[in-house]
Amino acid sequence: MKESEELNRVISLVLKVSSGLSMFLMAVGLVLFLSKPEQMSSRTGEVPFREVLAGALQLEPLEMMTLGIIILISTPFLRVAGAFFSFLFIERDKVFGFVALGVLAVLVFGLFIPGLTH
Amino acid sequence: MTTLLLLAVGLAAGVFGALLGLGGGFLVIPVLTILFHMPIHSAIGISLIAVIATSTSAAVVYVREGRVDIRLGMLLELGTTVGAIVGAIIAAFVSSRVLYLLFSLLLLYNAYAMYRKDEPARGQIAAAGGPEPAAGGVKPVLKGVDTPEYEVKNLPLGLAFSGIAGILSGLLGIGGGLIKIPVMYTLMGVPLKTAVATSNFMIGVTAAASASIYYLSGNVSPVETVPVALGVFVGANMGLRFNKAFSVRTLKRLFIIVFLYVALQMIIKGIGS
Repeated sequence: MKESEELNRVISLVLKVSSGLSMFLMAVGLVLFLSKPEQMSSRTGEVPFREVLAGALQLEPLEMMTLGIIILISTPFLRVAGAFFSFLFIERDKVFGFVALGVLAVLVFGLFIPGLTH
Repeated sequence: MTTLLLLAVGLAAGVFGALLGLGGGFLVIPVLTILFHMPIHSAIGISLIAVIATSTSAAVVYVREGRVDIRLGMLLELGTTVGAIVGAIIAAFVSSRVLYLLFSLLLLYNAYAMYRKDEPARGQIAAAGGPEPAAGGVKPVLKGVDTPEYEVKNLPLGLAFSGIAGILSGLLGIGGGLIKIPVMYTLMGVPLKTAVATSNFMIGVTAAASASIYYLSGNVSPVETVPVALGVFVGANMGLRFNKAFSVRTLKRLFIIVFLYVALQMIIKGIGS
């Protein structure tokens, strides 16, 4: 298998697994939510990740949906990270490895921007 | 009930977005703000999540088939992600009125672009997601990312435009393909199909840069976001299936009128807010 095909295969697999998991969590969470409408509330990004994970494991609809959103947002991060590792270790292309690292650094930087009140 | 309506909104946005060659944002944001009276910042946050969903599903197919120029995409992402963060920060400091008016301008530009050109939009339909080959059975332009059959031109200018596309994405919750595809195609000499596939690969990464900021700022409520995101995801895939049976030209003319009307509504809402 050519190196570039290997790169494509790795990135495609990363995308498939993470987006599939995210959609599954969101869909199941939504169905559970619709079957328990009394739980209506509008939680947003202020809930700590540990609580979201714990709630999702207990099949709490809101937490499952939130986890689905978090995984979906992180999918592009994984996409870039996958490209970084593939460039560096499969294709041995340092220049583009650093480009991917740069993009990843920008994405991570965004996570540290203090809460903006829109 | 609201949840089911939001699901329907997402579905419709996904189907029509795929048929017209647009991301869902152009339809999701006006509907959420005008019909559901949602704050525009929340609508933008929700739209960005929907953009990631559609981009990811399309990218799975295009990356596997080698249609994405990952190297070019990664380089331009340096511009789009920085732009997206800047856009999300700007959005925090500008009023809803400004966002409504900017979005209206973008809708007007979009209607104009749809009126002028058929070709890129048709390409975008193919890139909107789904397992089928590109519309018309077009074969991948690139067999592998390391054997490009073209030479990329004007890279610094392309990067600058990518930054602008990123700012618009972070500020207004759109994918930015409207800018990136013509820039890659006409300015950088990238074949259209590759430009479309690469843009779609990039859109998700760009949207993630600003979506995380909107999420952490509390603008992404799961109850409202999930139905829209799921709807857009399913709708975009359905739109591809309908593609062959539909007269896209007629639909486009219809949506040019819809966009003009929606732009007017958003201007009125912007002035009134």
